[in-house]
Amino acid sequence: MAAGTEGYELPEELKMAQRTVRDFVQAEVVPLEKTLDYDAIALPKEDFDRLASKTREMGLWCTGVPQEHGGAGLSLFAQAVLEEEVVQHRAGLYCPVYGTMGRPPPEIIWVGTDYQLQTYGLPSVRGERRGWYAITEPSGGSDPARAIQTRGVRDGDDWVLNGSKIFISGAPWGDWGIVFARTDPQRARGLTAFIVENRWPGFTMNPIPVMRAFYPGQLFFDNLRVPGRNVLGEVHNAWDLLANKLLARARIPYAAANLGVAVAAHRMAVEYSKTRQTFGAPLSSRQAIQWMLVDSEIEIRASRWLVWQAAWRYDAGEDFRQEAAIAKLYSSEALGRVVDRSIQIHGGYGVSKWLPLERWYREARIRRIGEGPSEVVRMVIAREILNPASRHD
Amino acid sequence: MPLNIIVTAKQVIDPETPASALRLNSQLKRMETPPNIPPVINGFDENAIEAALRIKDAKGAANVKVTVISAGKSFVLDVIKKPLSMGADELVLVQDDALEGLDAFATAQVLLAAIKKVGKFDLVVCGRQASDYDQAQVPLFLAEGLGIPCVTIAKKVEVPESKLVVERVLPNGTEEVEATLPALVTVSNELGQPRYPTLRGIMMATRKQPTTWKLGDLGLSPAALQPKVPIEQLFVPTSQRQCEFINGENEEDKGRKLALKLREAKII
Ligand SMILES: Cc1cc2nc3c(=O)[nH]c(=O)nc-3n(C[C@H](O)[C@H](O)[C@H](O)COP(=O)(O)OP(=O)(O)OC[C@H]3O[C@@H](n4cnc5c(N)ncnc54)[C@H](O)[C@@H]3O)c2cc1C
Repeated sequence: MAAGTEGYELPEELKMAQRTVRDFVQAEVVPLEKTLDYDAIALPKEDFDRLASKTREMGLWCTGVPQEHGGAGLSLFAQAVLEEEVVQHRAGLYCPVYGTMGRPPPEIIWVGTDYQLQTYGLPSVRGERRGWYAITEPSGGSDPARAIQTRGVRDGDDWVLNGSKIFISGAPWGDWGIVFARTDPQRARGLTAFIVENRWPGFTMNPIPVMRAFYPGQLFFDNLRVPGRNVLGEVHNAWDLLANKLLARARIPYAAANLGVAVAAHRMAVEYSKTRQTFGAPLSSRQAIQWMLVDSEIEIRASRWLVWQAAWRYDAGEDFRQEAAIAKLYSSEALGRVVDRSIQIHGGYGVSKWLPLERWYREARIRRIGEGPSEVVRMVIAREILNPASRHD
Repeated sequence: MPLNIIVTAKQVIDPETPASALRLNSQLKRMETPPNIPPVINGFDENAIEAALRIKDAKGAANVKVTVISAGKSFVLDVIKKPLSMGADELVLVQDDALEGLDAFATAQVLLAAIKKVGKFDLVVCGRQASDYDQAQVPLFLAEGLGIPCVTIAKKVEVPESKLVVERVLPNGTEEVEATLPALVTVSNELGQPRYPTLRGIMMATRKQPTTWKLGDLGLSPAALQPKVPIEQLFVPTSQRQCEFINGENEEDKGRKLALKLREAKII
């Protein structure tokens, strides 16, 4: 699928793909959720296999992974448009389609060596392995350049890691991951990325209960020995991988997911307000309710344009970091407000576990912290506004 | 010589449209939806497309050509091209301002003319009925007009050698019938879920342009399409609900009185 849109409207192919994904999610995934646990994060194996074989057939397996690595190789713009649809179900924000469109490895694995692709990247695309990435440490997540204290020390051909990572998504279910560790203590950004495996001696993990069922883990590295061939990218120079190739880019699909869940929550609010009668008239006839719907509608449309703009710049090879930060920040905050309003309009039903709103409300709260908390993202945006000449790196 | 299959498909209001978004225009005697709710291809017609594609799968892609024909006043291209993205070979659109509010007979005349203009065909596959007016008339008029056998409500359609073998849905089971080709068959949802478009299919579909004909290209004039069954009035029937509590000395007494009421109302 080509780089994106040439005009004001989505190109025909993207509209068709969008509708196909919408039909798939609404016809295949949403009905299954009636029988799953409310907070389920996985499908029973038969259902997973059945749906995954459909998405593979449809060419929707790992849409963002380059074609030469077994994915669909879609542009980030196309991915963002599809992501808005993929997440529109109860588990969608953190477990989109329960992984039945593949669980791609962290994007930066593709800068790796052939050995790394064969051992970690490709098996993850095939669904045989699952990867995670670890930046945040107990010493802080907002400012990784300063906070990362996990040390990597060279020992012959190997490296030895000591330290800890916290709030690592996917680690409890994964079997390998990318750990950013300090290897050059003289430099603030003297970081190296290491590929480690959960089963290696010196690696332990504790789950961290949080307000979503897809809980993250705390990792401990106790003289964890990493072979030299598991260094990802350049030694001491992992900052660009971390800040730009991983975090900045990831904000775009992250924002698209926020957008999608907001769309679903808002649609429920619109429908319900038209059917629920109080004091002899539908809720939708009341200005107090209408204004909530108006605010949600506008915030959703704004989120969509911000996401599309960031994705478009990324695909065009332009500096997209400011746009990605803005899309991430705005859509995370808008999602919280939209779900909140939808709950308010649904009254008691809104907070019941009969509707997905209760789960979305909890999970949406995490969006203002994960992948860069709002305050820090605002700081980044401010830097660019005040000093556009020196785009932050 | 490939087997030529023609499938008819209609663009209809999405039956999933929430009732609150539908508007009945009693003046123009039609249903209207807001522009942000796109139409869909009639569900049974998607079953018909699936039936044709299964024949294509069975006989090999090179041995079967599937042409989809649709007639209407206007089309949403990314909707009506869906059959192409599922694997159909060609799409013919008969698009004309006069093609609005046609009755089943007139619609069949248009499709008939289009099929004749396409020319060669061995099998015509239609959905059993359209989800808008649910009349199930067009395929029968079409078969009559083409002078070919018509087999309705299929759950399985096969073309071994050069005959048609159809498993039909009956109220209490199924029956298998055969017909000589050319023939027309109408397909029901019992055939099974239509396939999803593939990304590759979507890319191919966007590269194909439909063949578009006007009424004049088919040698038809609007005058020939006057409805034989005009709609006199389109309205939502009003229903009344009354709730009555049956009082009695005990459960048994209440039951007896309830039965009496129901008998009086001729319900039991
Ligand atoms: C469910 C979950 C999943 C996660 N998954 C991952 C993962 O997979 N991999 C990973 O590496 N990390 C992950 N994280 C970690 C996440 O990125 C961090 O929590 C986040 O970066 C914030 O770091 P912190 O929690 O240490 O907060 P701190 O950095 O201690 O910040 C605390 C608060 O202070 C604010 N703040 C910080 N600095 C400033 C400032 N200068 N001015 C004003 N306010 C400031 C922050 O915005 C925040 O609200 C996850 C977190 C959660 C909750």
